[in-house]
Amino acid sequence: MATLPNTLYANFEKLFRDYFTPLVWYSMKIVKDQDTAREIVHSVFVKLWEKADTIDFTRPVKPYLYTSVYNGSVNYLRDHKKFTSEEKIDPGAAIQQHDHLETQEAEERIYAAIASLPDKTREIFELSRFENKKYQEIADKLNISVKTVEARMSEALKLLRVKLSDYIKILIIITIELFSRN
Amino acid sequence: MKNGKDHIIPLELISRFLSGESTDKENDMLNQWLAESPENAGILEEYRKVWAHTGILEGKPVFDLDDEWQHFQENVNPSKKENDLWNFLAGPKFFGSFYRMAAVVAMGLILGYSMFYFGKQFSTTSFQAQLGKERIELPDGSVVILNKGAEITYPEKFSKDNRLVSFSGEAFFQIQKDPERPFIIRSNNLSIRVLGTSFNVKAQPNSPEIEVIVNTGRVALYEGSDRKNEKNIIAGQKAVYYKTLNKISVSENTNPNFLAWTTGKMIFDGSPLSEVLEVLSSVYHKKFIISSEKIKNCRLTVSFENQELPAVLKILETTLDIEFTENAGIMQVDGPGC
Repeated sequence: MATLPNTLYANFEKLFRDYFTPLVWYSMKIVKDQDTAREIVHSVFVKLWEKADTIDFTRPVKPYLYTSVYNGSVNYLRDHKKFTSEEKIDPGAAIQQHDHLETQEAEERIYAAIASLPDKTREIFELSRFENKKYQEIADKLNISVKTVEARMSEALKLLRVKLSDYIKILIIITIELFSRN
Repeated sequence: MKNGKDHIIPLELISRFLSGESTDKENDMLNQWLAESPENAGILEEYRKVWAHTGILEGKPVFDLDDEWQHFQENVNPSKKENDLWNFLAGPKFFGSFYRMAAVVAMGLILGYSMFYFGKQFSTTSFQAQLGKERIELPDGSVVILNKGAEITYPEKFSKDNRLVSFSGEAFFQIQKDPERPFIIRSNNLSIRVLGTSFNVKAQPNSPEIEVIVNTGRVALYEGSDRKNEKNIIAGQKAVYYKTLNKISVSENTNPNFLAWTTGKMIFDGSPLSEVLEVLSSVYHKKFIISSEKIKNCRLTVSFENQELPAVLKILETTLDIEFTENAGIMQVDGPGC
């Protein structure tokens, strides 16, 4: 294998680190299985690497990645069709790529925003938001004070609000009105 | 902003509210803040959305990107050729399992064992400086100056991905620059990784520590093949790896004579006798024992360059009013004190 110049390698690694996880989630929506999704994404990156010297990194590679993962996932399903009484897949039904891409965009944005938080802040935010741990539990687990947990959570919210600001403005969600009780 | 006051956003209150931790009193305070200005409701709403949206990732699997990147690299660069065993030896899987198997085997024997195991399919050279200081040149032109007793094992030809050697004892490495192929020294379970630089390694088999001091350039140290927690040191710095604690600690190098054993040049500026004797020990391969506490901290300011040991000892005896006596190969030092 020819040795590629260093900057291309560094760009490729960055591409890999930024997109690997969201691409696996994307594939999982289609193939439903984490290990399969992982393998599909790995093979997409290997193929991409083989063409690496033809990539122009100033242009978005993302659509290519998503399309390849979509194709790989759909091909996998086609080759491993399972017919059970509940899950009979209608061969006539086309799985539309755009069915999954809408939520994918959201996941990717949010994944990138959280990944860009400073390490400790991210860790504390994830414990609170995804593991539903109370501040005291987090403080005990990480051997820090509750005040520190509060400060880090505030920092996380502040940074995430900035990173997701343009994205939030176009979304409508149903919120619980705390202050509507009289 | 009607009266020009700065807008204060009670982030702690908001974060406690969103995560369900806020008390009634805190909710009242938040209500008050909301009432202060119509903008505040909008701000709270934005934070509510951030909280809600991040929830879509709840329950999704996370991946160790370092592991995945490693997996990717293995996919694109498989070493399936049986003759290319050095690639295999350099790979993380081999070292991971090998060190578990070979835990009781002394460092110097490890490469010997693997050579036995794999037969004559690849050739490596093992060299030990038995008589004293020895200078050797490696296949890539890098130079290693071995102190007495040091041993190094290296392949006939380095692989195309890296330059891997194993080592024990003390040596001064002058590594040729090759950014495409990092130079990796394995000693016990420590990996020392460089691109092109010069540094001293002290990895005595019966010592609990491995010490690396950088002369020029930069060196990275990590355990086994796991570069996740690697530590970098530059010229003027020293790293000590504590074998049983699995800990690498970085500090400033305060020993100006760390290369004395290869250059023969020693400079002491108010150094205590105990330190002086340590340096002499590494240069002249003699063991020194201080018989009296009183002379341990006697200070010495002097330099030596390529002098024979008897001459050096004579100067010390006169300067510090001490006496050296040789007893069964060990030098004992005594004196009335300073």
